[in-house]
Amino acid sequence: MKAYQCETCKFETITNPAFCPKCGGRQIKEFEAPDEGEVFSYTTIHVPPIEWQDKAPYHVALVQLTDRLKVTVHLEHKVEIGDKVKLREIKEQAYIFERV
Amino acid sequence: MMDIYVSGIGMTRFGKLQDRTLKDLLVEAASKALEDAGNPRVDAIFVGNYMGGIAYKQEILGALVANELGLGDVPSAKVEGACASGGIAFRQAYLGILSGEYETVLAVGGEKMKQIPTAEITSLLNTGMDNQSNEKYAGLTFPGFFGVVANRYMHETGATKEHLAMIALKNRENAVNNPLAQFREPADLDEIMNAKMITEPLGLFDCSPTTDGAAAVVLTKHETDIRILASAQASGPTQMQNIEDLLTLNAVKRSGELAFEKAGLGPEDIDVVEIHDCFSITEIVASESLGFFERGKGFEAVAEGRTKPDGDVPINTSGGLLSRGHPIGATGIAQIYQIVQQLRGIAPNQVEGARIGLAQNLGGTGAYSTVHILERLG
Repeated sequence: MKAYQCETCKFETITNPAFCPKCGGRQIKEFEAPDEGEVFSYTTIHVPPIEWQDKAPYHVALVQLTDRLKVTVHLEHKVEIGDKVKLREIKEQAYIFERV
Repeated sequence: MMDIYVSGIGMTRFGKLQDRTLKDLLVEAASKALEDAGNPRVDAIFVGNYMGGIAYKQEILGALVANELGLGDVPSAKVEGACASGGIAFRQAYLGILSGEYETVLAVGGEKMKQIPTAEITSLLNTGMDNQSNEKYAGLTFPGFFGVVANRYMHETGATKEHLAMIALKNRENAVNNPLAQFREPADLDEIMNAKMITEPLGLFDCSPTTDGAAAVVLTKHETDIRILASAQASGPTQMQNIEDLLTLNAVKRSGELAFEKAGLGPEDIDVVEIHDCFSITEIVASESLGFFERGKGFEAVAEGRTKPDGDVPINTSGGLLSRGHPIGATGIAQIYQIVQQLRGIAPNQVEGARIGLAQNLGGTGAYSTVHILERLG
């Protein structure tokens, strides 16, 4: 997965920032982040917004990919904190993960 | 520095107010506040409102209020900061006086939301998150964010769903005594624990409702018995995945630090607190970010009853967003309304001898926070 790191403070993000959200630095470099990580936390959404009405309940997790990098992902199956998960596909701009 | 005071407060009933318009709710709250202030000359108006445009198809709220109140050509503006719109409007009024431009300013906040079905309002509320990021496409919602925070909080601290329920119960017990609150029927722990699931682990009672209502405050440079000791504001992350410590609301922490520094006080000096409990977990995490409790210890204070009206850190004596209700743009100003009532000694769930109060208003999933500290003189 493509990710971005601030060369000044080393803050990492999954979206490409014009400025580092943490220190305002302008030197941002792209790097390849691992496709596998650990569930940091999660929720199962039972009451969805209108555009997700057909899919509920569905699962969203915050996944730790590196020491400094987390990504918000969509899952089709329930997970727990600490579960190992990996990228299945990037679909309609969403990172879809599944349990390893 | 110039001293700035509160001279009047007003508020409508909160709830499902089918027969009322947004305009007449704003006008009712504002005219009550002006009357309470002795109908002074007003130099400017700031209106806190989040979704007047998208949910009610009405903007120009500043000029609407000026016209309806017969305040003539005074300058006015609507202030938007998601759920912190009210707190930011109050702060803009404060800053307008501090600048020397105005002597007396009306801050009024309101929202009309109950006409919109839940799925649609959930979608509209997502405008308070970064919709141009992958998080939206993952299906994250506003309540979903706080569900993720709650699961992590419970994992790290050993708190349980019952601790979350205790927050909802406390705030409901407080709202029962508040004549303007949305939910005044008592509830019990069983009912709260077993309610419909919204976003795990948060059930219906863990989530603030949609609400119609308005609240208003008059601020002035002329001395009254309620002085504003500090006004502070901070911004925070707009994406969950960019938060370094998920259990700290950084904007809340920073705005709290700034407010305490300006007031020359610490958390131990505060007698009564209104915290932005958009969700039960948010009250716990914000109470820690403000420094009332150590990180990861706020849930223990709840279990010990320390945040009840007779505890040492009374939080949300109004019933909070959870049970007083959350007409978004009104909320930050309704918090000030309750704190002023506490300092005047006439509040529902009155805290004996309250002299210094704090109100914290959150916008988005931690994107904005305001903190105001008020003091009773004499």
